[in-house]
Amino acid sequence: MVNHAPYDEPQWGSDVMADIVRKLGFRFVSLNPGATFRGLHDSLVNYAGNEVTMIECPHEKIAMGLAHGFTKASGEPMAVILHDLVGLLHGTMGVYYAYIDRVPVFVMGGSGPAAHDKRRPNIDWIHSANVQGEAVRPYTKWDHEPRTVESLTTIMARAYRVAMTEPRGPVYIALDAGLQEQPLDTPVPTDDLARLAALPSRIGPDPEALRRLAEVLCAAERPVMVLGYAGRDPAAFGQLTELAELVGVGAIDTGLRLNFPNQHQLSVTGSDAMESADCVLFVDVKDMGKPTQKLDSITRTVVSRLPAECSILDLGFNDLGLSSWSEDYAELLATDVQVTADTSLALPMLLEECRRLVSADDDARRTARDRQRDDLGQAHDKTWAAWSAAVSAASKEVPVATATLAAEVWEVVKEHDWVLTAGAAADWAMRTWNFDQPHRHPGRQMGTATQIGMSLGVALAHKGTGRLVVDLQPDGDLMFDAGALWVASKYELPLLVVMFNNRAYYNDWEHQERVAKQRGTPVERANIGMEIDGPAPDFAALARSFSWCAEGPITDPAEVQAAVRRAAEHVTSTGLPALVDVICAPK
Amino acid sequence: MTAGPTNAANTVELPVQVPSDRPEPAYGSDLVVDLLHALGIRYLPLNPGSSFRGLHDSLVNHGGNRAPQLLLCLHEEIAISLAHGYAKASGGLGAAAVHDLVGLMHASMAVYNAFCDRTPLLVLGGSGPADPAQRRPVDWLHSATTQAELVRDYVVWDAEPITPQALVADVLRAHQRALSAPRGPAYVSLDATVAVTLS
Repeated sequence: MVNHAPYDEPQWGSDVMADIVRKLGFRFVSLNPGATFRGLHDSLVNYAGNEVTMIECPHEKIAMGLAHGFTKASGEPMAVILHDLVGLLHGTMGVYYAYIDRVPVFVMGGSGPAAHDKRRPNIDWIHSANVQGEAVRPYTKWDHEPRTVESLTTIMARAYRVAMTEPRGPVYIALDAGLQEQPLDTPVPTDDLARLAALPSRIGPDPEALRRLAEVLCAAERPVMVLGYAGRDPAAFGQLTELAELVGVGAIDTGLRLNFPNQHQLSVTGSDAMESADCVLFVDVKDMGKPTQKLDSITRTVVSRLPAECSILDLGFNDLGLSSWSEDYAELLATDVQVTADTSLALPMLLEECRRLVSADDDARRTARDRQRDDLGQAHDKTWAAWSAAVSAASKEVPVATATLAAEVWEVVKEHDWVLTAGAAADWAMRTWNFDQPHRHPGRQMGTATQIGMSLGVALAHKGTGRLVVDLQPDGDLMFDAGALWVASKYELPLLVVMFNNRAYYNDWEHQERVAKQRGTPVERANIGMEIDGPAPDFAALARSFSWCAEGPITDPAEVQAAVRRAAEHVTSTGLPALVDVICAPK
Repeated sequence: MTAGPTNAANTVELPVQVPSDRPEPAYGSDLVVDLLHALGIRYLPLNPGSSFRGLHDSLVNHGGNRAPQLLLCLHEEIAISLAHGYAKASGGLGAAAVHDLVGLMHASMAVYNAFCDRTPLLVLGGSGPADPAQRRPVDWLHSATTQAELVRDYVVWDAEPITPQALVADVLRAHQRALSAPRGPAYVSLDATVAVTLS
């Protein structure tokens, strides 16, 4: 192992921490620097030979988002270090979204010092809490604050196991500044780390319950499946395609991960196949409400899309990992067969059961099953024809229609081995691009102020592969974390940002229009407190100030494609980021 | 000495054709705006969010976007810090509004700093709806039992009123507690549905 320190054996508490971090196999650690982990910072750079590459971020939430995106895109966990209490508070929303999205971010923090006599006046006191981990405890899988150097190995190994065991999620370890800077009197062995941190086996399904689920699915005449997190395992993409074709099941992708090829004939996302289904199979879905409900946004009335007689099957983690605090589990849905299992283990077994059942089809059932597939194919074609017509109809609109933006960017993107980082421009990329391989998309963004940070991580994960990493970036989202652009330059990330810039918090603007309609107030006033205009941010100038190649604002739809092609050429030839600012219609 | 520009009368984002007399409150969120006005609050920095869309509408249409005038901030932390600085410089109370759970998370460090700095803030948040039947799917991801726990350890008081009457009482109490020695931030989350009912 590389060592740049003037000593060979670990001499400080933080040297042991650094040994553990590198032995756990983390290639990257994102951070915003802080005095409470100056010991660990030094150990990572010097004693641990800078082998774990630091990604310096200008905000703790960007550091969290970057690790979140990297982990989803690479399947490999990443470490983050947050400065004491205030850095942790800056990072809270990033931790929460990693929790919601089941992403195993290994979050370390500096803390204390717990020993009062070691505290600097005022600043260490106002940045200490009893105890610091409580700030994120309700939305991490586990947290701890080691009290001795000797206990570091088992505590950090446990944190790693907990984060990486499905269903995954973030963990938080507060590392006391005093412990970091404590000289070691006796050696502290970390030799057992690999065995201590070894992951337990995956959760397998009850074979009898899985057989019952397969029987109901294969007997159904109009089945659909709703796909959640199964795509975290790239093999699920092929397995779910095979299941759909074999049984004749329509696939509805939530977009939380890329689960299914969107242009496949049995992809019925966006169609009304659910309204006529006689069976719905949920595959690794936490919130069963969103994909099965219709919402009246004015009155907040929610109506189920599921027919009353529809059988409900669920294959996934059930209530494992349920929080008493966060209500991200959504409303409980009545279920006919529930199989608790990790789909990465259960899907091949389900396929085997279904092969056995389908092979017993008689002629009539075979014909009926062919018709099932044809009907779903027709639903797919009808949906895609409507999207295609919408793209054509909007192609000349100024400002640029979101559908046009997605379609024009696709004309360039399809010339490359490409990846979409997060958000899909109000879903239009999902309706115009061909998501034909699992690496194309690690899943959607988690809401406002999450996309640019996650996009950095996705670009980091694909750096060096020659792939073109594309971020369809909303303006409001970027304004929260504008400093993120600096990270892409600093670490030479191959990121193509095309601004989906409607110069507004448009989602919220629409809410004000709904309230106005409900209350009879003037809809024309809905822009107040919603526009990101007057002055309009110049995103190209902003990006150039961080050494990006950038152009725009572009308002003419006929100019989008050429500008995006120039920017893509810059990214692929230099490996450096480029931005094209496009002024878009609201959605 | 040359006088600089005097922008004391702020004309940014003034809605046109607002009646000069304040109309009778029709919604819980109108009541909140009347209360803020009566308490002398001139500015309400915020980053918009659907969880307080009712309050946003009332600020503009019921209150005419004057006293309080909303100040659009591009991050919740900026909204709270703006109120923090305003409170210290004016000697009075700073007010701000933040979107549900995630907006409050974005704001958390700034709330903590106001607590450490003993600065009186009235922090309003949207939440819920508490009634599951009223929730859009995203509302579940942005709800918690209870939201205020996020900041409870570093505010002087918090409340989650479930009726318009309680809403008035709790905003008043939050105002009082924030300004009582030792001063600090108080947090009141306004349930999205309570803000739109008044009977």
